[in-house]
Amino acid sequence: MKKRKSSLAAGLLWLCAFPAHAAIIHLSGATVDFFYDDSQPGMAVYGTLSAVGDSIFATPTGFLASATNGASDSINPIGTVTVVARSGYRFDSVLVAQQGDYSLSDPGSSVGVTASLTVSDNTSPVPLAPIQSNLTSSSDFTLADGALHEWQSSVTTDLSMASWQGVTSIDLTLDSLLSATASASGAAAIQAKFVGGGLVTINTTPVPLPASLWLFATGLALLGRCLKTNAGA
Amino acid sequence: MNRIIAPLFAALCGLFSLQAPAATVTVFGTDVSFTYDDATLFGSANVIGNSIFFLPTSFRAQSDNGAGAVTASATLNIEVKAITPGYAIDSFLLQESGDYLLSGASASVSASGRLQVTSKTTLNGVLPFNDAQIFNVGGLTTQGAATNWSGSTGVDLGTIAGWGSDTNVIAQIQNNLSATTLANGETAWIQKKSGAIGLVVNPVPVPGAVWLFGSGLLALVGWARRR
Repeated sequence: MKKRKSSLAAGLLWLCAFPAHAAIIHLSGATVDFFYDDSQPGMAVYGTLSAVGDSIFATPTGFLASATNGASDSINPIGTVTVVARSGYRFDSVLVAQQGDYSLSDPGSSVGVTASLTVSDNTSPVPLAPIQSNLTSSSDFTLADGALHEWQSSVTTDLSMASWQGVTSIDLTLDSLLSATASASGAAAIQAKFVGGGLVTINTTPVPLPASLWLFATGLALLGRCLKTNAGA
Repeated sequence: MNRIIAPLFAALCGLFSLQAPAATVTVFGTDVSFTYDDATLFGSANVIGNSIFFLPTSFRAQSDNGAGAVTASATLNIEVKAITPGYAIDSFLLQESGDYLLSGASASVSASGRLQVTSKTTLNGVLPFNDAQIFNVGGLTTQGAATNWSGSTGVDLGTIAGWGSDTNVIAQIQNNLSATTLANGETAWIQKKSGAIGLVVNPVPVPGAVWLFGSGLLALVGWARRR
């Protein structure tokens, strides 16, 4: 009995030593809600996510591949965020963008970015086929002068097709690979500093006719009646 | 009794041997607050007015005797919030400095940094406003004596159409140091000793419509008095 108690106490103390358990995080957008599980293996790299309007973004500090002296390094976090459109809204498109910097000490060193966005349907009983698109980069990663240089990559996925108009919940999965390879005595590093996804939504609630239109129509009808009466007299 | 105490003691030892979790710290300036993680190479921050500065003691890259390239890099997020009602942040200036030493014909060092400001309140299209500026320190070629280096860059929200100013942003600073030696007997080191972000915070301009309404109201009061 004593042995069991002591083991239990030790176990409890050990448990307390670990950080809080993983949780589903909810962020409110303007017309959508974002949900993600912060225990996903890739999510730790992104750090805390924030929402502004209908966008969700991260400013990671450890999304980095760095190599020196003939070595190679890579990092490949995969994270999924669920987006639910509020009642009266549907998805029109989604834009995902990454931004960061890189440096190469010499032409023998290299860095690269490969990333893809997969949009999956969570709504339909028989889900639509996921849409996968590769992010395209604005940089060719060839400036090998030891200085720091910017890079960006992005993709827009169109969700306005008729088949997607009934979809009110989607998963956005970003699979992003950064890689760095250094020459024998060189250095190569690449880092993502901003990763964000923004939704464009469409209000599906019928737009009520403005009161002025009713006023105008009533006036027109009265005028018509007056003209008719005058013509009859 | 010993059978209880021993495992308890072991577990407590385990508890304290774990690495301390990163601590989020909030410090206050005159018109803004700064929230950051103090467990990075930047260390703890000091605040004067609306500026925050760091005096790191171990942000250093050193290469000796043909060891090739050695790098040191750190990135830090600082959430900045305007805390004085009616005030907003207009611009950010990053200044960093340190020293370096080179000994040997093929010994070299480099220093670079980046400041990124991301809005937590305002969209630019479908993504939040985000601007980044880089500095690369040139001319690090003095041989044989410890020599100072410095670099700076800035982000001016006032020059970005549609942004202008903000009350809540994430300011991210990054610093990269690199030292390289290719032959035996060579030494190269570089270190960062200070990093500071200075903010310009100003009252949010009152919209023209408010002035128009106010002057109209005054005129009405004057007219009513005269009657």
